[in-house]
This record gives sequence, C-alpha cells and structure tokens, in this order.
Amino acid sequence: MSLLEVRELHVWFDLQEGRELHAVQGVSFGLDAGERFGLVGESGCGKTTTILGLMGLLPPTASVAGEVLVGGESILAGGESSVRSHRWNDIAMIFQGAMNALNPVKKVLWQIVEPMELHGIADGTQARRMAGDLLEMVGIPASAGERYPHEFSGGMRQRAAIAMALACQPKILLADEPTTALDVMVQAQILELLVGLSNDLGLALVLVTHDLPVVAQVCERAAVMYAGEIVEEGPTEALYHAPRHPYTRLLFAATPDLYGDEAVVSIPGAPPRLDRAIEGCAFRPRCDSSLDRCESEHPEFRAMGAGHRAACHLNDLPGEERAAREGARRAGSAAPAATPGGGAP
Amino acid sequence: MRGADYVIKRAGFAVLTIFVAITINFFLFRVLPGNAVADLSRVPRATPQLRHALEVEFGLDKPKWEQYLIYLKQLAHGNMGVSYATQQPVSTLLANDLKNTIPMVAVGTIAAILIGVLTGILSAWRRGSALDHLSTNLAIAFYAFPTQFLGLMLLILFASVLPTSGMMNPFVLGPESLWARLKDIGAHMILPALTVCLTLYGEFTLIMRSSMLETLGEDYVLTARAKGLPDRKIVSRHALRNALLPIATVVAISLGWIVGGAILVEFIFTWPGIGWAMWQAIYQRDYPMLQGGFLVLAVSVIVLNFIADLAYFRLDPRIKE
Repeated sequence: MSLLEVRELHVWFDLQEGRELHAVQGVSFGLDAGERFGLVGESGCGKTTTILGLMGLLPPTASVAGEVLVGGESILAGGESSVRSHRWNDIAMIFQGAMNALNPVKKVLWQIVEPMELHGIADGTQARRMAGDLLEMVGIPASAGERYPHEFSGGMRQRAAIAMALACQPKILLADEPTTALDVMVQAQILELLVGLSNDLGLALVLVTHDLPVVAQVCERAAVMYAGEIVEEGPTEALYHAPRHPYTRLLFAATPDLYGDEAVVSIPGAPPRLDRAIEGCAFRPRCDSSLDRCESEHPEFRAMGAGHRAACHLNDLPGEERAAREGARRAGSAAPAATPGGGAP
Repeated sequence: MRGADYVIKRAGFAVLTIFVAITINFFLFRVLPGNAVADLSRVPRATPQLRHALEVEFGLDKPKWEQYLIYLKQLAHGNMGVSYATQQPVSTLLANDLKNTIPMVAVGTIAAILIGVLTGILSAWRRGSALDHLSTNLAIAFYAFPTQFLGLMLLILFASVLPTSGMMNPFVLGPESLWARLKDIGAHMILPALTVCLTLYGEFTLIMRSSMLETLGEDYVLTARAKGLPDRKIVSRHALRNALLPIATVVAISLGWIVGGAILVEFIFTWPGIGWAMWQAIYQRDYPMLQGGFLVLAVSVIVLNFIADLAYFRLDPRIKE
C-alpha cells in the first residue's frame, strides 16, 4: 500500500450564474516513502489546485470529490476539523512564493515552533531547540532564527520554509514551484537540499513545477497534467526518451537543451477553458498528430508498460505507424498549427 | 541601536511641522477681510481716535512681521495672549473648552474606532455573507452622510427623548450631587458623541475590511492554514497584526482631532467646547484665540502622528531608520 494515495480527485470551482469550472478532473496517483514524484504541466492545468485540494486548502467556492489516503486513512472524509490534524503532521507544504510564505511580523524561529506546539510535538525550550536544529539541517545557523524574514535572502527564506515544513516530521512534503523565484545557483542548492532530505528522512516528495529539467534532475517518477487531467505518468526516463503522449513529447521539445542542437519548439495555442465540457481529447486542437477519432472520443488512461500509463489514441496504432506519424510531423517544419493564429512558432 | 535614529528623525520632523503650522496660522487669519478692531468698535459713532487707540492697545498698528516676532517670542515663554473678545488669557479659555470637548469627542471617536475595526474584521472574515453586505453598506452610507445632515437628523429624531443642546441642564439651581451631575452631562453627551461616532466609524470599517481581505490573501495565511491552525488563530496570530498596520495612521490622526473638536457637531448641539469657541473666534476676528486654538489642534495632530510613527515602528519589524 502506498504512503499517499490520491484516487479520482475532482475539483470544481463555482462561477457566476451557476456555472462551474472543472479544474481537476479525476486525478489519481500514489507514492511511497522516500519517493520523489513530479507533477508537471503548463500554468493553469490544475497542478496547484490538485495539491491544495488534497490538503483541503481550497477556498469555499471550490468543491472537492475523491479520496486522499495517507497510510490507508482517508483524510478528507471527516471535513475541515479532522483534516486539520493531518496538516503539517502528515503532509507539509512549501509554497510557490518563497518570499511571502513567512509572516513578516514574526520571528523565523517562532514560525517553526508554532506547528510543533499546535500539534503537540514539543513546546517551550525543547521546541525552540528542535527548531534550531532544523534550521541547522537546512544550512542556516540556529541563531538566525531570532531574526525576521525580511532579514533573510530569498534562498534563506526558502530554506527556512523547508525547515518549517519539517517541524512536525511529516511523511509527505508537497513542494509547489519551490524554486521559481530563485536564481539558478540557489535553485540548484535548494533542489539538492530537497533530494538530500528525502533520502535521509525517507520523505515522500511531490514536486509541482512547469520546469522539466528540474523534474528530470529530482524525480524518479512524474505525471504530466493537461486541462485538469493526468495525460501521462511514468518513470522520468521513460517520459523523456519514450513519451507516449504528444503533449509530453512537445513539452520536452519546448525545453531548451544546453548541449543539444535541436531548436526549441513551442506548442501553439493555449490550454482549453474548463468551464464547459470538452468532447474528445482535450489536447486535440494543439496536437501535431491527432486522429479523426480524437475529436469525439475521450482517450482512456491505459498502461503502456511497467509503471507507464498514458491517455492517447495514437497508442492504439501499431508502433511503426505511430512513429511515422509523429516523425513525419516533426520533420515537416510546416507543423500544422491546429489553432489558427495561436502561438508564435 | 535600531530605532534611536528613527525616533530623532521623526521628532525633528514633528517640531519643524509645528513651527510651520504656527507660522501659517499667524498669517492666515490676518489675511481674512476685516480686523478685530473693526468688530470691537462696532458701536455707534466709533471715532477714528477710538479705533486707533484700540489698535495701539492690541499692537495691531505695528507691521505684520513685527507682530509675528512678538508672537513667537511670547509663545516661546508659554504666553498665548489675551482674547480680544473677553480680555481673558487664551490659555485659561482653551483649557476650559478642552475640558468640555475632550470627553465628548473622545467617547465618539474611540467608539467609532472600536466598532469600525471590529465590523471591518468580521466583514472580511465572513466575506460575501449577509452580515458582510449589511455592514459594508451601512458603513458606506454613514461615511457618505455629511456630519451636519446626520447631526440634524439625530436631533430631530431624538429631540423628545434626549437633551439636544448644551452640556448640562441650565435650570438646575442649588446644590446637586456629583452623580446626578455626571448623569446629566452623560445624557447631554449622547447625541453629539453618537454623531461623531457614526460619521467616523464607516471609514474604519472600510479600511479595516480591505486591509484584512488583502492580508487574508497573503501566502503566509495559506501557510498558516496548511499548518493546521484553526480559523480563529489564523486571524488573531497571522492576519490581524499585519492588517492593523495601515489602520495605525488613520487611528492616530483621528485621535488628534479629538482635541480639535468637531466644529459642526458642537455647533449643532451647542456643545461649549473648543470647536464652538473657534467658530466664535472666527466670527469676532479674535486672533489670539484663533491662533491658540489652531496651535492646540496642530500640535495634537502632529504629536499623535509622531506616536503613530513610533507604533508603526514597533508593529512592523521591516521599518528601518
């Protein structure tokens, strides 16, 4: 049994006039202790909503369906007051805005001690000593805990946020774009720190990012999200070398490669609106190798090999034909921009 | 030490502002058409000789800049002059007026701050609820009403139940117990203080609400929720102090006006305070009285502002020298 198991998670946001936005459409994934899992996709595809949803942190305008099991226990079933005891205790988070995740008017050490006292882990001097140790663990002198967040650099603040996330010795750490606002050197240090922590503490890490090289560097497994759904999931290696969904392939093609000579290709168009039902495959309008049936038939999420799953009709074709279709489109520089006028090449 | 520089700089700035206010006050009233003597000698057949004698007596025959220097020199010695109208020392008169004004305006203002901050927090916390709509719309309405309109409406509505004029019942003759006297003053105070409170509180509700909403959207509030803190603690520990920062200045300035009184309210309810005295002094071109009154007002606003700066400094660790 997995440590964290997300089953068929749906999130709807209420819009005006009774309309709804189906932001997360049946997302399922699981991970074991010590495993590092990446959740990738463009902005607006539901990555952050997924992880906020599984902690029950979405605003009241959102409704959530599905199950989130931590060690076999369903954490969302009991409502707000019961999920509260799981927060930070079982699942902790590091947020996108490293700069603002710390309260500007409280000292850093106080903010690390706060969840310890709240969840009865430790209090008083003992909690302060533990918080100091955590700071040392992420590479900040314990004495710096007596300072305010604005006295820290961006990298230090993110380190402090990580120390804060570890306060209650959680089993699972959700990191939402933890390195986005940081420069490349600091980014590498923070990633190294996260990898080290997950190895040393057996921490299961969910890394949410749009930055594919980061995922490749950190995670053994990853899932690619598009329009609120996971369209492909598998070992990072497999996603890179043998993607089974055109979106995954195009995402990697859209990433600059320091050593490669291949030109960066952007994906034309934008993700679809999610406030109305989508017929067929959500990616079809932007796909470079779509079939006729993609227009009407929603592709099923199916196993492609060991731990590798994807939702694409192309996988029903024989291997050579599929490769030919993709290859032909890729070679032909006049790639068919399915959405007229969308996106610069 | 962090802060010493900041305090000195702020204090220096406050002193400079007071000096500028004194200067402007001095010249401002002398620009008004007419002068004190014209008003005092408004008796039939006031001869030019009489006018001249009065001008000499009050020192109004000297050039403006000389009058200004004399004023500054006397002020430095703590002498605020003698009222042209009553021949009494301005400091005595002002002290007496302040004694009447401060309790009434203070009650109204402090109630307004408390009600405004509380309703603002509740509105933001329960955003979009019926309570929020009610409280926000009421706040906007009261904020929009002119003081004189609200005062007159209250006066009309409650004229049969509550005293509407003055500070105590003038028809009580003979000795009266302290308790009975306080009760009488309290009853007279209700309407003017209520007017002050209602005209002020809306602003606090609206500022507090928007400040709180902004704070509740901050990442550290999401972090606090992710930590598993209950709503009440998120508001009291993480949101409130950050949301109060912008309020500090508005509160301080409002407290400064307690001393300045509320001219309109005191006028409507004939409250014998500093606002009422100012109005009379303008009418009579009573320069020393005007200068004194506006000096008290300027100093109190500036001093409270200075205190707000210090409070800000304590509340927000990010503020540096």
